[in-house]
Amino acid sequence: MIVELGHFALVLALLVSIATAVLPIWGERTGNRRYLAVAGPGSVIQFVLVSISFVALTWAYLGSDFSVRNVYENSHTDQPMIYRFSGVWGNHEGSILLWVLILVLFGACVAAFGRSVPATLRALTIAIQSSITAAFLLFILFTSNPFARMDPVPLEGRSLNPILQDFGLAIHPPLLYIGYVGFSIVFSFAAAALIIGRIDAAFARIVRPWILIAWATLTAGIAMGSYWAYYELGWGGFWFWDPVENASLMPWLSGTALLHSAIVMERRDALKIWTILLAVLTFSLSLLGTFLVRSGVLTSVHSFASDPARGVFILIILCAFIGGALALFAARGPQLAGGALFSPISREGSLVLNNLFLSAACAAVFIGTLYPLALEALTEAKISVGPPFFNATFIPLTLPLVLAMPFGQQLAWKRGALLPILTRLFVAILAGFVVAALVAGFVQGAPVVTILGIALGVFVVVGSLDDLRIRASRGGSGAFFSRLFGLPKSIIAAAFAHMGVGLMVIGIAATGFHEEKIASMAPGETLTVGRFELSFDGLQRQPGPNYIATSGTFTVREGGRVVAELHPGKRTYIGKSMPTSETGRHTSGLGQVYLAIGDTHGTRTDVRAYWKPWVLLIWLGPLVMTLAGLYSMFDRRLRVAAPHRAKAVLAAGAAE
Amino acid sequence: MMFWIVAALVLAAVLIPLIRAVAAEPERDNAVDADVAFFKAQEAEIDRMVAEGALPADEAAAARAEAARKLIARAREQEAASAPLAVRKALVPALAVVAISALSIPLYLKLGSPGMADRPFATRTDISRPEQDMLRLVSRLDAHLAEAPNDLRGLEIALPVYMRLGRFEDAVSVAERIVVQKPDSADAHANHAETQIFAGGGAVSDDARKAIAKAMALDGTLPRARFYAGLAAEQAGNGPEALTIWRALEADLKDGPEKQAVGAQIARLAKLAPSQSAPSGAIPAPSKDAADAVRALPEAEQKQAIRSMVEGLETRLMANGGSPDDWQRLVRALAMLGEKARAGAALAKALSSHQADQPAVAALTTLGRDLGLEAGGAQ
Repeated sequence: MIVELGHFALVLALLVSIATAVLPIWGERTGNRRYLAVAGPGSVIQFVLVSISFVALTWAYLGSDFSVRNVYENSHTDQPMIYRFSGVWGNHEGSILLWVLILVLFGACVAAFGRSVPATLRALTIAIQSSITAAFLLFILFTSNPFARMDPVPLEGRSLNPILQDFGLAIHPPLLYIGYVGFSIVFSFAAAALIIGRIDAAFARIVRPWILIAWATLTAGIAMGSYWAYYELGWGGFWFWDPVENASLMPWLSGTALLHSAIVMERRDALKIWTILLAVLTFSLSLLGTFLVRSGVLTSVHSFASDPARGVFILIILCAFIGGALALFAARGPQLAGGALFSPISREGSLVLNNLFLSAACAAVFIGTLYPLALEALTEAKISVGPPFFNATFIPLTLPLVLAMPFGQQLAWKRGALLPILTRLFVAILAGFVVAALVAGFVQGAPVVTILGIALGVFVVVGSLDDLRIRASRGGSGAFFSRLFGLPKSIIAAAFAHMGVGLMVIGIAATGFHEEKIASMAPGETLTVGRFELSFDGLQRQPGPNYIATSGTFTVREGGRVVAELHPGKRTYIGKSMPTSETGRHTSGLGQVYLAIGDTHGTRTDVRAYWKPWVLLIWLGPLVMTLAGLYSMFDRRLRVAAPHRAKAVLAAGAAE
Repeated sequence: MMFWIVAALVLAAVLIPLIRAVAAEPERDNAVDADVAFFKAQEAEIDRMVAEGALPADEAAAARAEAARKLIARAREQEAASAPLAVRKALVPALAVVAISALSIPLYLKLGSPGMADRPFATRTDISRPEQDMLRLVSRLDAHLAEAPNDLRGLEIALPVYMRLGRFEDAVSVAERIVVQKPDSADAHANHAETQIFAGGGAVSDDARKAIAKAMALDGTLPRARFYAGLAAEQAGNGPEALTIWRALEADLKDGPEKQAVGAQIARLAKLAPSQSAPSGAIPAPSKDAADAVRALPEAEQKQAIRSMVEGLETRLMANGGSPDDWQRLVRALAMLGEKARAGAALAKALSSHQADQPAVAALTTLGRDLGLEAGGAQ
């Protein structure tokens, strides 16, 4: 009964979402305010109904109810409880249901927490959000129904893909989805504002927390995915420019641009076109990511053609929402002009530059990801666009941006000057040079690129934090600390988020110091990597709940002293032939000793060992960015324009 | 019954708040209020910045002026905008409420499985004794092998069980481990070859070929080794040799299912022989043993096994081509599995690769028409 109730609730949610999508817009168009009143309860009801569905499916998974096809295909009675639970979204149908759950959660949040939002804007935002929900519920119910039943009921399930039986991957999709789908509510706000025709600083203030939560969770989700790839795939890389990764990076890049552009809109009533377009673009890229990952296009254009129903459906959703939003934008575009003027060298100007660079970087990733697919579809030729392409396009676009970050933080609104900033950033510039000199002096044969990268990272870290010192010392030396702690949360958050970028740059640059050793070892032999000695003590086979593990024992010594015992291994899941690797890692400071084992030939086992100094910074940086983003949400203060004396002649050069 | 009562309650719980929302006095449109509130918040923020010393007084004045200017501009816009939204009758929402209640149940009846009970594993009573025993045996075997992966007795029990369940990949790994422990047993090598051939969907891989050779070297009379040696020869493009091996084998065997299986292979190959001018890469029909093994599986796994065989055939033919008979078999199999688009694609590829062969084109065209396919259904 519970399973069928979940199915019924999903059907009901579809009907309610259609009603909630249609009525408020109809009311706004015909001038009947009663119709708008449906939005609030409608969004909450959708959330409750989809939650019932989700709980019902979870119940089926936890109880191994193989009469549900989805459970049969993705679960097994031997699977540990946590992976029976994460199996709910470890498959196509369940993950789309999770997608919709988050979609309706955001809709309900607007109804619950959006009291300060003007009633019409709130109702229309919920209506747009409901229309997205309706589209995806149609998709679920008619092409990917997780509640399809089987009769006769199979004896045993087929179990979850072993590679997904990992704690990191159990929580990675929910985080990533909150990020992806979080941008849907920003999109809905933008579309609603376009319908009403009210796009101003107040609008930017309203969407600020929504952009922040989406951006922060997306950042965390991507970082988590990258860390998972690092420790699970066993080659020690952290980013592979894989299409699935790129699909999440694209909305992040445009979402980052959106975040910055909304600041300008809130404070100066400028960059409206940028902000609205980026809001539309970011969610479109989230949809595109979902399409790429869910349609099967990525494994092969042909596998998409073999089951086109799903892919075509998402493609229709994609075109309808992007096309609709752009059409609205075209209709309202003329009203968006105007806003405050500013000179090219100013905070606004620097943020326009930021938007341009991020959009270009996003376009580079877009081309690198979609070009091979288009080519394969048209000519059957299979090409792969790998790291060389992205290194040649993405990195040159992002490096200047990172370099310019501390300058942007210092630039004045409306009109600024670069020269005084150079003197203000003296400390940061000096820190960069000193560290570069130290690294060059102490590390033999350090690659130039690495030294420059570290110098850049240090400059950004110091420059970002120094911004706080500079701001707190304004207006005399007294009361420095009370001013420091009294700085607006958003200023502090910005400084730390930028510092996070700097930390990540240092971590990435330091990959130039990584040492790699590949050896075939017999028990009793030792291998030296970095300042660590690894001795191989032997191989054991250990049974797990639903897998057989082969794991090696390695003793790690640093200067003769034992610091750790590592157990890298391989797991073969029962009933599946594909082995997964488990790496052994020992953290020393910010670096890690990283061990993976390969095949065994007689008594010898293939071993890959790495010493990766500072590698943790690659994920620590994004973690700091995430926390900063969340912290910034607590800033309820407005951002107010503080123009210099108005008597000055405004330079032309509005970017719009 | 219980289900429908709960469903009705859920439906009511959905409709009541909607009806109440529509019936209540609607919220006033507070766009102007919001503008004023925003302006006040801006003023408060400017005051605070001045108090903190973050904003000099003259800049604060300019900022206040700018905020005020915007408020006035907005107010003017509001005035010019159309009349504020009116409160009128709630006809359409009422219709929506009716539509939700009228559509939800038929739509659910169409999509769902009304009346079907939950079947959590712990409360299953439908699993028969032998099935339960089988399940328990298999999971005990799995657990045992996980703990003692090289226990010969366990491995020898597991091998036929895994083959019967269609867990061919697992069977390969079991057979491999048996071979390591019994390197001199022709039977073990023959088993190893057999599992690999099943895992590969009927194709004799290089590894399988080696295993067959080892088995033959150890015991040239072993019927199963000779049977697969014939298959290997056929797939290597040597039809006559395959026939020789199988004929000799048939002569040696006593009457029984094995002899019939070999006879069927001979008959099949003899029929193919005339058209076998270029037999390299020819794909055999699934052997009778394979067919028997598949038939012994539970239904769901049976389908899966058939599907994986067909897919193996598809991959090979699409990559390397094959005889018109192979293509016909593939097209028919795909159509039976309901993969119309893929069947169409296979048909198109078959037609293009045999366009010079008139009878083949005619046969393929007829087949396509019988199955209602269009060549090139998918790219």
